Amino acid sequence: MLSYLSKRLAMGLATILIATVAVTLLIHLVPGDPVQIMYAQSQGTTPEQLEEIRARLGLDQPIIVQYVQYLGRLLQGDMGVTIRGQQPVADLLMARLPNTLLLAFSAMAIAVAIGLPAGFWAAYKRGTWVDSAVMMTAIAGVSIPHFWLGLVLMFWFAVDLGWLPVAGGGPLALVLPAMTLGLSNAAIVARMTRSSMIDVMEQDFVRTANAKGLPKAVVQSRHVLRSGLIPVVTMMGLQFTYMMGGAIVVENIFAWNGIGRLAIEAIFQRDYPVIQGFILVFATTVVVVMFLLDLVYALLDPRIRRS
Amino acid sequence: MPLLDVTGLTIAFGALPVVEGLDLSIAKGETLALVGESGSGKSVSALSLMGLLPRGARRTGGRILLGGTDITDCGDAGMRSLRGPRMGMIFQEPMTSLTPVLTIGRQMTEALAVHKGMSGAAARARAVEMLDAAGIPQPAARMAQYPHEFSGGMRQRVMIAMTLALEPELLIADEPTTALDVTVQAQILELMRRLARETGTSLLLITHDMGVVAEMADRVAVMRRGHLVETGTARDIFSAPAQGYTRDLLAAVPRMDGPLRRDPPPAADRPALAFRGIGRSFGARGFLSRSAGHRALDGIDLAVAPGETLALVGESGSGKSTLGRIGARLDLSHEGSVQVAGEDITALRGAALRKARSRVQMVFQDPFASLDPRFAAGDTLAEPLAIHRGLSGRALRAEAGRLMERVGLSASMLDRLPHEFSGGQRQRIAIARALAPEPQVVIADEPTSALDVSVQASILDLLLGLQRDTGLAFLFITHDLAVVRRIAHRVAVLRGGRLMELGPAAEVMDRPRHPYTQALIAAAPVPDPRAARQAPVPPGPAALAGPLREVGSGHWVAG
Repeated sequence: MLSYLSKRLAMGLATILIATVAVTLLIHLVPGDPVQIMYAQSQGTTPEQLEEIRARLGLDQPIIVQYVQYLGRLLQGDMGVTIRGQQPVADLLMARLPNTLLLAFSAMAIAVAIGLPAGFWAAYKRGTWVDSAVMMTAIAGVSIPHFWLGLVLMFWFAVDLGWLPVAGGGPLALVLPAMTLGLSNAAIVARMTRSSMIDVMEQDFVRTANAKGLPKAVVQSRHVLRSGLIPVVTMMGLQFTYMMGGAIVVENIFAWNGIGRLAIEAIFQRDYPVIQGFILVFATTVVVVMFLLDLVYALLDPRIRRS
Repeated sequence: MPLLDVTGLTIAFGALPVVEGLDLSIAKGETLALVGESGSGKSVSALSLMGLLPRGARRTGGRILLGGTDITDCGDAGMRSLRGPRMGMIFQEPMTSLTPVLTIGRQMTEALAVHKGMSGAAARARAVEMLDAAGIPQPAARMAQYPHEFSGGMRQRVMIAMTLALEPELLIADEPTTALDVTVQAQILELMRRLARETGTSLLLITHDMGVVAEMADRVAVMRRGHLVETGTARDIFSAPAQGYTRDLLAAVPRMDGPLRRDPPPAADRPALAFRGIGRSFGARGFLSRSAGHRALDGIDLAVAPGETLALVGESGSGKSTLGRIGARLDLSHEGSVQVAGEDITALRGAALRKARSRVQMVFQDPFASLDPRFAAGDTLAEPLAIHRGLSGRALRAEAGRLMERVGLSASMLDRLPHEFSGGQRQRIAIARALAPEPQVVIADEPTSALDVSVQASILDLLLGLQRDTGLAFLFITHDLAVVRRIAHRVAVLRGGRLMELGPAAEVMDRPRHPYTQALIAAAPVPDPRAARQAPVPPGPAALAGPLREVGSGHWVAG
């Protein structure tokens, strides 16, 4: 188990390292001179000022040197400063990250709370109208785009009924964005859970459990559910990545003050240090969540736990 | 009054009847063997007794009495209270029949709690007692382990212990030893016999193996295509079968006391296929793993002459299939060298490797899996004919038809898809495909193990005929010693990746020198209830694997 986890940890760190390379190269991938593009909108910048900015960003150095310097600063928690306003990027991102994590984890909780039981129920009632109804709802849920579902929910619950705020911060304002993100993911979780449970229900060991005369509920909860969860947990890592991406859209619809909204603003303003920082924080979050899921996976599967 | 009394049992998959009007009865303490080939309906009948029919199957008629009580329309909850304490069942696949995420202890005690109302400590004690009786060493410690920490034979012991811990009056065992090695099979059969006798349990044994029937059964019921053919005492069925089908079935069974192959291989000056110092390790790769890996083969020297059949015998994990894959150049990560007709083909890669592969062809165990389900027989044969022999158009079609006829099929079947053929016919297509590039060597990896005995015999005859006509060299990989007698000129016995014994079939089969070979031969069940039943010989420690020394003409023994 330790060797399994250390292997996973090493792979996670390698992923983050690759992200730092990508982030350093990013600024050079844009055609043309990044400094000129960044400052194209601001009038009256002289060539000398551009040179000075270039030197400040380290863009006059060879790319390897740039990377090493960037990595060195990163290790000290320094992600540079924003081009407009000269605020430290790290502070800005850290101030917003909790909001995004709150949104993503609430959405994940909703997705699991609805998707898992629905998928399990559909599998249990396979071939009946219950199964068809759950799966049809799930297909609808997967097909509806976030922005549309978000707008519909906003229209009903905020504008029409006035139960919840349209946008902003605070616990009440979290409900709509979390529902938007959670519901469409619940559909995906339900579909994964159903197919995984059906797989397990056909396994020889479930027949053995039935042959022992165990009550139906015991067979389902002890033998089927636990084994069936293993592939679902594996897929939840990808699901979470998808959810973080979705968070960017949803944050913008509901003006939720997370890093997704910050990233969109930075992209429009070509604020490279913020974009770089965002990508790095995003990648790190995904890696951390993946690692936590590997841990859960190991706890569920004795073949890994005891290897 | 019989313990189990079944009358007119009828089962259908959808509208298709698979069992019709089956009558069975088992007395208390009696062992009834239900025998038949694949598709005869024997497993479905057993599952129906347990109320465990798969989705889509349904009992449409008949009456089942257990201990005098009618349980035909018992309902799900009622059946659950019978399953376990009244009747238990053991399945074929020990590797998949235990829940992988629960400990053995948990799986054993949960049923004891449900049916016997035992508390935690009492259930635990009972489970340990049963594991001990089933021959599991250190049972108390192993209770905390998970199924993947047990071997296949050990898992089947756990299944037996788990099922018999509930003291069922009827034990149904569906091919309980088919997935196990012969030496393990002998021990498991002995265990079932002993435990059933001690507890007075009646046994319904479902099997296709007449050797197992002869060793275990008091009475035999023969099924064919969903119908009962005949039933009688084991002695009567074996010595005087009343029905033609039963006679054919028994005649087709390869026997350990059957004749050896007589015709000698043609004289040859150099081997068709030769292995020199072959070694192979698995699992030692990966830059983050530091494990030493598993040594699957070690220092193997073997040669097969043109027109000769060398049987490669061993149990699971012996490395026999790995050696076959190395010979066919499907596994290139090994030590040592491989020669075909004196030419070293070890280092060949790319186009030269593909050309070399056409000289050594393989036939695999499972024709259901080894043929592409979307390729008609003609397409399967066309590929090698076009690639290796450059044929096309009419010439290709004519050659494909000729190949079909050589394996006992007809050219008119070229456009059929694999699912339109029977298992035996499919294996014939696989053989035709192997012959298509005109190889010098055919490596057959358990080519008859997935087939019914009656089909097995005809496939063996086909292979022998092909060898006589073409002088093909066969490397025949098998675990079935009775098959070895019929087809092999020489035998190589493999264990744990090393050669234990190598020599002429007559020597190795009738005068085995190595204790492991002796154990293998003693463990093979003899399809004759009157044969003296020997206690299983333990296969001995794996340490007896020193270098080979010659003990007779061409007869080599390790240690």
